[in-house]
Parts: sequence; C-alpha cells; structure tokens
Amino acid sequence: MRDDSQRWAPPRDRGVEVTAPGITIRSLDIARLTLISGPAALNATKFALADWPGVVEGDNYAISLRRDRILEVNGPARSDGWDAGQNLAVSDVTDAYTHVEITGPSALSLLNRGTELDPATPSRSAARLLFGLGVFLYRHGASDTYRIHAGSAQDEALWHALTDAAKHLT
Amino acid sequence: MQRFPCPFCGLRDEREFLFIAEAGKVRPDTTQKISDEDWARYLHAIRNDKGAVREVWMHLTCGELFVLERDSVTMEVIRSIPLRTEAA
Amino acid sequence: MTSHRVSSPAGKTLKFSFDGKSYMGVEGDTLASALLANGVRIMGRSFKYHRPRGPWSAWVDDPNAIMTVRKGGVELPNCPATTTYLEDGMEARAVNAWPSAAFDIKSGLDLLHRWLGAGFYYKTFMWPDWHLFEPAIRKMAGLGHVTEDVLDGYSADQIHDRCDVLVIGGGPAGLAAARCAAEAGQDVCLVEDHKRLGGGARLSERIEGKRPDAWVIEEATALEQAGARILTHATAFGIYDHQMVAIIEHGPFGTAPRLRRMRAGRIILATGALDRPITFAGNDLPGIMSVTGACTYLAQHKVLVGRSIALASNNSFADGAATMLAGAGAEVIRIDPTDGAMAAKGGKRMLALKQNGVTHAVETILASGGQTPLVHLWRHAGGKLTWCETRQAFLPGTNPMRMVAVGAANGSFDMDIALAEARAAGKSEARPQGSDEPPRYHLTPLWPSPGSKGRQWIDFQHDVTLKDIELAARENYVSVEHLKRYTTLGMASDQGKTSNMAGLAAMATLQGKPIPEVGTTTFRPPFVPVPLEIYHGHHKGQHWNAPKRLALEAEHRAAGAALGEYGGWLRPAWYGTGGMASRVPEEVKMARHDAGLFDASPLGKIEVMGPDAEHFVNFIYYNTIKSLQLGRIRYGFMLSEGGIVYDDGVIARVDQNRFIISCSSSHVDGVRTHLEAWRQDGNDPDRIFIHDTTQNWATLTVTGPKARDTLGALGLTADLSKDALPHMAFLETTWAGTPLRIARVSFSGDLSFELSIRRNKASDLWQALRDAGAAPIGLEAMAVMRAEKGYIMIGKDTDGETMPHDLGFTVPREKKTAAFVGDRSLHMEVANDPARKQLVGLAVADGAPMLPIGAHVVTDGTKPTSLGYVTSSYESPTLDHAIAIGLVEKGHARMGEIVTVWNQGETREAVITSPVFFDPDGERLHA
Repeated sequence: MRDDSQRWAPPRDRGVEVTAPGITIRSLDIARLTLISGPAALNATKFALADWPGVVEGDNYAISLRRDRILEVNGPARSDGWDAGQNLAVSDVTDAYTHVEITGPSALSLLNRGTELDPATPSRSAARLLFGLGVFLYRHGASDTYRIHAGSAQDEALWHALTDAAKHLT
Repeated sequence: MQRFPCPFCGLRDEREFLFIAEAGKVRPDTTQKISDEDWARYLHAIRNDKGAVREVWMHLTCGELFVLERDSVTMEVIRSIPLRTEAA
Repeated sequence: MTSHRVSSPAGKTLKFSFDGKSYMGVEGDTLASALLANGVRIMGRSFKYHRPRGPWSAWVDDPNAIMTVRKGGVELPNCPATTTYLEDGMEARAVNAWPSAAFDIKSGLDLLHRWLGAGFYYKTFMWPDWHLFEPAIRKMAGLGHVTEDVLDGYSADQIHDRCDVLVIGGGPAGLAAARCAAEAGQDVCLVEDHKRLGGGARLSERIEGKRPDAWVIEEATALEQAGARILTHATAFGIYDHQMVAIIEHGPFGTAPRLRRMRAGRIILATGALDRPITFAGNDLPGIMSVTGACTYLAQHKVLVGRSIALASNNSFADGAATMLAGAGAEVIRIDPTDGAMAAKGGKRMLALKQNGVTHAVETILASGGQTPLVHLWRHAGGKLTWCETRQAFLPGTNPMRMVAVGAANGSFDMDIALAEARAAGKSEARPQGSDEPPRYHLTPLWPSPGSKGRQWIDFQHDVTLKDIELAARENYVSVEHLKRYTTLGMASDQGKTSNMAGLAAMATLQGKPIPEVGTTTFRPPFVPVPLEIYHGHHKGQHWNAPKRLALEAEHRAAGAALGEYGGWLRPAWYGTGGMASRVPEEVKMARHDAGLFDASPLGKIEVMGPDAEHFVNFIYYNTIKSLQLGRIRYGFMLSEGGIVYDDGVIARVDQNRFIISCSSSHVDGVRTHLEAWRQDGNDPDRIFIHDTTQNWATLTVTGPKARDTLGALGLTADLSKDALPHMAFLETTWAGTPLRIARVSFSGDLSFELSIRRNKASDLWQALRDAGAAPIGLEAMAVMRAEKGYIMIGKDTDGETMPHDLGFTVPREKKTAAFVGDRSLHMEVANDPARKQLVGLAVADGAPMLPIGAHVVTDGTKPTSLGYVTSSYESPTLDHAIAIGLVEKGHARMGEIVTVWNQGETREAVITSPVFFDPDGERLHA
C-alpha cells in the first residue's frame, strides 16, 4: 500500500465561509436529526415537510425523503428502534450528515454545475445526486437559499465540489 | 443522458437509477421442490427484447423499486408504474 | 501574391507569426483568413506523405491547416487554422512539418507513395513482430505534440441547462426558426459556432429584399427582444438521449472551454451544408479550395483567395459565387467538371487546370461536387437518413424524438423554401405547402471514377487516394466500416466531413451498387474535435471519486498515519516512520502482546427494523438468524441468488424487531441496495424498514490480550467480563453521557471489543483509549492478523465462483429449511461438483520465503494444470514464518498433501493445511 496522506488535503476548518460572485457557502450545525420510517411516515411529524422546490422555514421541520421516510430536523427526542405502537422505525442520525447552506442569486446556477436541477420540475423528495454524491437538497428560508445534507464522511468531497464549481461564477 | 420518472420523486437523471431485473419474474418457492431447469430459467433466462420492454428499476436516492416501461431502441420512456400503494 | 485582402475590414490590427515569420491580421480573422490575406497558402503538411497543403475550406470541414498555437505561455496543439480566431501575439506553427509547412524535410516521403498504400504498415511490419517496430512508427505518427507544461486554472466549467427550443445553427434558417419560436413565447436558445451570426446569409446578394447584414441584424434584434438566448462561438457537438445536447463554449485562446449540457424540449437543426470536393488528378494541391470556402473568405473577411480562378462546379450554387468573386476583381473561368477528367498542374504553386486537352493557366481552382447537408447531429439523435437522387445527397429522414431539420441541413438549398420551413418549424407547424416541389438548386451527378488516371485524393489529411479505395475493394474490405479502418478514410480530424461521401461513392461504383446501398459509417460525437478537458471538468485530483473521510482523520495524521484508499475510504495503513515493511510487523507484535487500537468506523451499521425484520434477515442470510438471541451476534454470509458469497459480516440482535447488520466496509452501499431490493420485491415493505446509519458512528476496535484492561480505564458501569460479555455478545451502555455500543467481535483472533460512539464524540473516545495505553494499528497490521487466524476477506480470498460450503460453512446448506437468497443454487450440479475449489492454508518450510499472491497450485507431470491459487500471503510476525491461504480444488480432502506451487516459471513446494495458523483452539479469542 502506498502512503497517500499527502495526496489528500487534511480535513478543512468547517468555520470558514466561501464567497463567490452571487453566493455564500457555509457549513451549518444542526442539533438533532431523526430518521423516521414507517407506512405512514410522511404523516408522522407535526412539522412542515421540505421537498422540491418548496421553501421550508425555521429551525424545526422535516425533510421528505421517500414514500415511507422523513428526516426530522430538530424534532422531539424519540427512542431508537421499532415503535410498534406508532408503526415507526426510528434512528437518531444527528452525526450521520454534514450540512451546507448556499445563499445568493447565483445559488441555483452553482447547483446546476452538479446536477440537472429545475424549479419547474417538482419532486416530493429532497433526496438526489449532486456532484455524484447522495444528498438531501431543498430551499430554506428564501427561494435563493439552499440547504444540502450529505453523508458526514463526504463533507470534504461536497465542500470541494461546491467551492470549486463556485470558481466558475462570474 | 436519459431521465426516468420515479413514481414518488418524479423526473430524475438516469445516474440516480439502478437496473434491477426484467419485470415479470417470480421467485420460485424454494421450500418446495424445483427442478434445475426451472431454477436456471429463473436465474438466467433474459428476454432482452428490442423495442418495448418492462423492467424493474430502483431509484437509488429514495430507494423506490418500480416498473419502468421504455423502448430499448429509441430510449423513449413510456411510463413508470409504482409497485407500492400510497399510504392512507 | 495570390490571395489578398480586397478592402480593410473594420477592427483592430493584430500581430501574429506563422512558422517564425511575422504577419498582421485583423480582429475577426481566423488564422487561416489572416494568412490568406497575407498571401500565405501553404499552411500544413499531410499526415502520411507530408504533401504541402492549403486550406480547403473556411470552417470545420477543413482537414489541412492544422497548427500548434502559442500565446502568453500557453501552447495548444492541433488547432484548426480555419476555426481558431486570431489574437494579438499568437505564434502559430504547422503541425507535422519541420522546419516549416513550406519547406518540410519529410516531404521526401511523398516519393515513396507507390509503396505506402493502404495496409502498408499492417502488411510490412507483421514479421517477426509488430511490437518491434511499433515504438518507431508511433513516434512518426500523430500530428501536434502535447507540451509537458501544466496549464494553471485550465479547468472546464460544466453546467446543466434547459430550454424549450434549442436551435442549432445561426444561419438564415436558424435565425428565422428561432425568432418564430421565441415570438410564440417559447424559451429559445440559439447556438452558433462562429463569433458572428449569419452563417451562409452573407453568401447571398439579398435576403427577402434586404442586404444580408441588415437582415441578420434585424432577425437577431427581434430574437433578443423576444427573450431568446444566443450563444455564439459555441458548438453543439453531440446529441445524447432525451434531447440532451452537449455544447462547447469557447472563450479567449488558452482558456478552458465550458461544457453546457442543454436539455431541450425540442431541437431545430439548422446546421447547413458543405461543399464536397471533386476527385480529380492532383486535387490536393495548395490553391484548390471549396467554392463556399472562397466565398466565405470574401464575405466574412474581405479576402479574395486568388486572382485567376477556375471555378469547377457541378451545381447551381456556382452561379452566384462566380458573380461574387468576379465582382471582387477575380478573373473567373467556369469549368464543367462533368465534361471530362480534370487534372491540376503545379506543385507548391498552382500552375494550371487541364481538361479535355485544354490547359487553363490559373493559380486557384475552386471546386464543388455538390452540397452535403450536415446531418451528424441528426444521426447522433437516432434519426434516419434517406438518399435524395435529385440532390445526390443523404437527407434527414424519419425524425428522432422531438427534433426537426430545416434549411440546407434538410436539403432545402433554396433560400425562400429554407426560410418558410424554418418558420413553420419555429411555430411547431408542419412543413409548408410547396416545400416538396423540385428545388431550383440542381446538379449533374459527379462522383469519383475508379480506374482513372492520376493521384486523386479522397481523404486529404490522411492521404487516402482513390487507388487506396480500389486496393481495399480488391482485398475485400468492401463494407464502409471495414473500408474506413483499413484505409483510415474519414478517420482524420475532420472525421470524414470532406472524404466520406467521395469514399463511399467510389466503393459503390466499384461494387456496382447504388450509393444508398453502400450506406454511411456511423456518426458519433463529437461533431468537432473538443479538448478532453471538456469531459472531465472538475472530476480530477481530489474530485475524482473522492474517498470517504474518517471522523478521526486529524488524530490519525497527528499519530503519523500513512493513509491509503481502502474500499472507498481514506484509512490508516500503518503509523509512524520507517515504512510499511518495518512498521506493520511491529504493530502486529504489539497488538498480539498488549492492546492495539484500530479505527473500524467504515464497517457497516445497517439497521433492520419492523415486525418482519426477523423473517427478512433470516431470508437474506445464508446462516440461520431466527434463532439469534437478544444481545447476541452471529457471523454470516449474504449470497447472491446464484449462491455466490457476496458479503460476510456480523449481525446483532438488539431487540425482537431490530437487528444491526455490520457488513464489510467497502460493501455498505451495495448491501443497502441488495436489502432494499429484496425488501420491496417479495416481502412486505410496510413491515420491514432499513436504516443505513453507518456514517453516524465511529467504531474503535481494541484488540489484544490487554484489551479488557484498557477498557477498564474508561470507567464503564457495564460488566465486560468473559461471562457477562462473551465472544459474540453485544451491549449498549453510556460513556461520558453518550451512548456507547460494545460488541465482542474479533477480526484479529484475539480478545477484541468493538466500541461504537457517535461520530462527533469519536475523538474523546480515541484519546481516552490512547491514554489507557492502547497503541494505534493500521489496516495492514489487521490484514496480517486476520490471515494468521484464517479469516477471509470477501473478494480477496473468494472469487466469483465461491460458495459458502467451499469455505467450510456447510451446515445451513444441508440443514436450513427456511428459504434464503441463493438457496436453490447451492444444490445445482455445479455446486455439487466434487472438484470445487476450497479454502485451505498453504504452509512452507520454516525459513522459506512467502508464496507469491496469485501463484498457482498445479498438478504434477509434464503439462501441469492449475488446481487453484494463493489468495493471501504474509510473513507472520507472530509465528515467525510465512503463511498463505488459497483456493484449491478438493482442498479439504488434501490436508497434509505436498503440492507444487508455480509462479512465473518457478516452482516450489507447499503443504496443504487448515487455514487457521494462529490459536486454532480459540483460547485467545474467547479470553
């Protein structure tokens, strides 16, 4: 095996923001993420559901992922495991994801570097591929502000893909 | 680059999808006696039709398994059919 | 001076050089037009014979004028002079010529042309071995050379885009179609490969009563007012599925182009048509040019390509051209090329055109053998072609999805018909009445005549002549696809734009078939050469399949880890200085003696929950999981439906309706998909739910005789004693207020605890364990320890045929009554074959070197055959001798047998043993 430690830059400082013409990219911290699946999971939260291209507001909401799954953001504490009473499978996945927010008039153009993304093509799920990475992507707070969640281990990959693509913005 | 309609998510890039199998095969009940021929047919017999085909695909980002009808020559998508019913 | 500028166009004056000589050009020039304006005609040398060549045309179809261009420290090879816009300070050199295109020392190769025909290299250098000659021939081949400089910031932008209507081509038809579509309220994008709109418009005297420039400006203004987007200096070079059009957008010289992936609701193809060359003796001489090329140089660049011109054309387009050129001051004589064989006379300088015994003293010959519509993109999209006898050309036939061709690209060479059909297409209306009437454009068929005298070029760049086509036909390379590969016809950088029609027409004559029966070769993207950069964009360096990163990477780096990519993760291979050869054995010895600390975070943590969870995991696993008790763990295999071992790992039962599957680190995505597919196909998806929580957790393995003592320092309340938490048991507790999972699972063969904690708390746990005395070990040390114990790695110690009973796991195959994935396959004839390869150990004499991985265990005798091979092999630091495991035919029945191991011609002896070299009784494992 070859020593590739020089080939890959050490993990970045997550506090640094990147700005480019028309956008700001920054990392977010989120206190609690709960993965909830079940036959009626889409109705299992009292919060608004983020999908595409709707705009979700505030700190407490849930992300629609699939027919039978949501990801609750800053939701109430729930016990992990199978909840037979409510027919729900629950996992605390607070550390499973890394979070990036992109804001600004060029945000959609930046995202179009990583996928074919069109507000005129709605989707009931926020899960999609962006720069080849599995992410959850939706609008938050404003129509030019986007939140992206990718696997924690892919934080570097997502960040570099976004900030590199941002170099093409003029 | 094709786009396929996921029954739940709508139109998405082909890179989000995985071909699973041709539609229509049923797994034999393996707790019963099955001849080598029947099992081999289940495992290996593939129609690979030219033109209209019915296939099972998975939308990887949401995990949904569905039937996709498409044309294997023109790549035209005819329709997608959910295997799941909407939750009440 | 032959070619010259007839009047000064507006624009800045630009200085440049060609083959070391300085010239002046004007803004808006291409390298070719600027050189022609300076009277330079020889701009390149052909590929094979190094014949002097001038530009054939004024745009993408030119095969001749190819240059290496340097400016501002950036050098790019293979720039077509006809499509490279001139910039101040450019230094251009002809490729394939030295010291210059005008005086090329390799031009002597042309004298050997009699012996260098098609297939020369294949036939001559076959004996004794092509590979002896290949390096020298390869060195001679090729055009420009890539410099070793790496361009800073040369990274292509790649962007997805969409529009309702994409119009490809900004000539009269494209402009008219785009305007109608835009004015009908559609979101329209027009792509034009020149910097200026207009295309062929300027070749007409008037369009709809207006001067061409005025007409173009009016259309463009209306287009913009209607909200259409116009991309100039951008070429649509490929059409892919579902109306995905690849567009390359050029910036200034030396900057990386942009790739725009345009998803169009529908596509209007208005790409125009090209003049095809006439095949006659000496038709490659500098000074022979296409009629439209010459007219374009005049209309766009005010450059007249010659003073005395013979205009040889078989079609009605030449009428307007003659007037236009004469109007600019040229002496033009009309030649009917169908009236008798022509021959060009001259060398670097054109002297005359001969026909029917008459010599016309001219220094320029303009030729057109008819118009060929540009149907490349039509074919990319899957459209059919039909042969038009009137026009002697392939025209767009059956439509591909949501695509229509208009104007010259559709064979509508008459302007009024072209505009009418373009406007109808813009409005999504059917072609207007009357557009199917016979065109005013007419021609007399003219194709190469095999057997005629003289060297007659078909492919200019690759020096394929009519004689080469005849030779290919004699040798039975008659299919156009074979003809292409045998002669290299159409394989030049213009991809047959000038040569294909002549080549296939010649073959048709030789075969006595009509042209449409011979057919065309396949049209493939890209339509024009594009830099490879356009395809990879940012997908390079750190962005090319970036590995997943551990929560503890900073800690590993601080501990001096060598990091390597393992199964998609960047992981510590070993720690400290001194290299792998010394560090790995030291780490193994330490972990066998004290306590090693191993980052196992990438191990899968896939939770299966729900009322049918137990039934489901029992179906997914080869092993029986139904009987697994709460808080217990089982090792098991997942099989493919073909019975092949797909993954191994452990599964823990957390409660009645909840299991955690810990699959191989590199297999998590695959296993998740495998589970999800079976969940929804054949099971009730409302009673089973699968959560992949792998990346929520960091997993630290403490392994070694002192592992329990090390954990003692954490101050856990849980009882970790042998009786409370035996091998293959599991518990959940808390540490420092955070949930902690502890699994007694071992991959080293020693007492081991796998500790899983949420990712953001991993560094606290790492530090506590380091403080407690555990020393880090990398993946390489773990790989050695697992091999000592005979533990396999799927895909390394198994192959695409390995079934569980080959690995010694026979019970479920014989006893498990419930259905499971792959079950029936384990009883097929192939599964019952007594000669299956089985997992064994391979022992060598004490002190002997390790067996090479991949070495074959072979039969004895004069013609040995393979019985299997070595899959893992190490020098065991624990046992102080070499160990190996492998897959060997009937291996389980050969225990103690001495076998021959063959590797690259050398043979050695080994003894077949159990694969378990270390602690066979498991005392250390169960400690």
